[in-house]
Amino acid sequence: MEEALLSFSQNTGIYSIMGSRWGWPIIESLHFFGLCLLIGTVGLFDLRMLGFVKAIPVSAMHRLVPVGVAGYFLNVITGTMFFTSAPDQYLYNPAFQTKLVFMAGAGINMLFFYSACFKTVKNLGANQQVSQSVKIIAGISLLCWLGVISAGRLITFYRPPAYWCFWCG
Amino acid sequence: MAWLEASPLSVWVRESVVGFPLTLSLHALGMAFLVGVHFALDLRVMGFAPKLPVHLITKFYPLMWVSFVVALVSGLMLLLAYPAKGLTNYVFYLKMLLIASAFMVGRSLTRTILIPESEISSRQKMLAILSIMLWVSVIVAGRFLAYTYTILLTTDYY
Repeated sequence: MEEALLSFSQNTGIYSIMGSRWGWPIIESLHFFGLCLLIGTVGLFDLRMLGFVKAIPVSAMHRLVPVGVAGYFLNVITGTMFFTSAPDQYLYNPAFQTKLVFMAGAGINMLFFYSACFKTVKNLGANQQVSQSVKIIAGISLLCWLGVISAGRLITFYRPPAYWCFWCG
Repeated sequence: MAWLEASPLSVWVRESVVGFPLTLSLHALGMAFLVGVHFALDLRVMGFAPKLPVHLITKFYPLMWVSFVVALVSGLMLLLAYPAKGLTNYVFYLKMLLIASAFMVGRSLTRTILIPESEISSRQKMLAILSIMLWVSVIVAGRFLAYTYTILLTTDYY
């Protein structure tokens, strides 16, 4: 697994970018930029659904979400660059594993929102409220993204040897 | 500097189990909403989400200020943990200058959008682009702080 990820990084040239003098911090900065785009759009949309700033039409607020999706894809790309360039620092890292759990939570929650709830939300205007169940979904979304950020920030704090991860076997 | 490093809060942030990870996470979360709310305004002024009433984005400013305080306090705690690391690095002062500039640009943009106008001027769009560039520079400076320091601690506690 480690070898496969590392050879992907080496064969695609990612490894030499990440290994260059300022490669790692530059890609990290882009990752943080993507994060702020996501929170500034999807995060604020979640807050609006939760009842903050009701004067903003829900439908209008949602028009910022595509920018957040762009931030998300920026972070999938930059995140893959970190992960494949030092797989041993991620695979056994409890902070990274926790981050993946929160990402999966956010993803499943998002799929459920767009498949089951979005039609009741997309035309709501100013001072209109989403239903209680949609509020719960918005809250789960926000908590998952906060979890992704917190756990993600801790990845570099824990630079674990493989045996740290007791559930990795 | 040595007595700062030896102060109980400094030692706690640096050496306790939760001190450093908690402070780092709070700094990242504070940044996310501080910069995120600014980005939302900037994006709207640049022409995204045209039906979103631009002045209503300022209703998220209380959240932005709370996030700023979280980022500021956690940032001061990180500085207290390794005072020499930050204070001897010119990138740290550059970051402070960039934060002040970003806030000033945000302020002048906010002042003009509160005046009800139908059209967004090209000057406002320029300010929005400048705001995004400055906040990105703050992020870059912050990341580079971890890679450009020359002194970690003035005294050796390990």
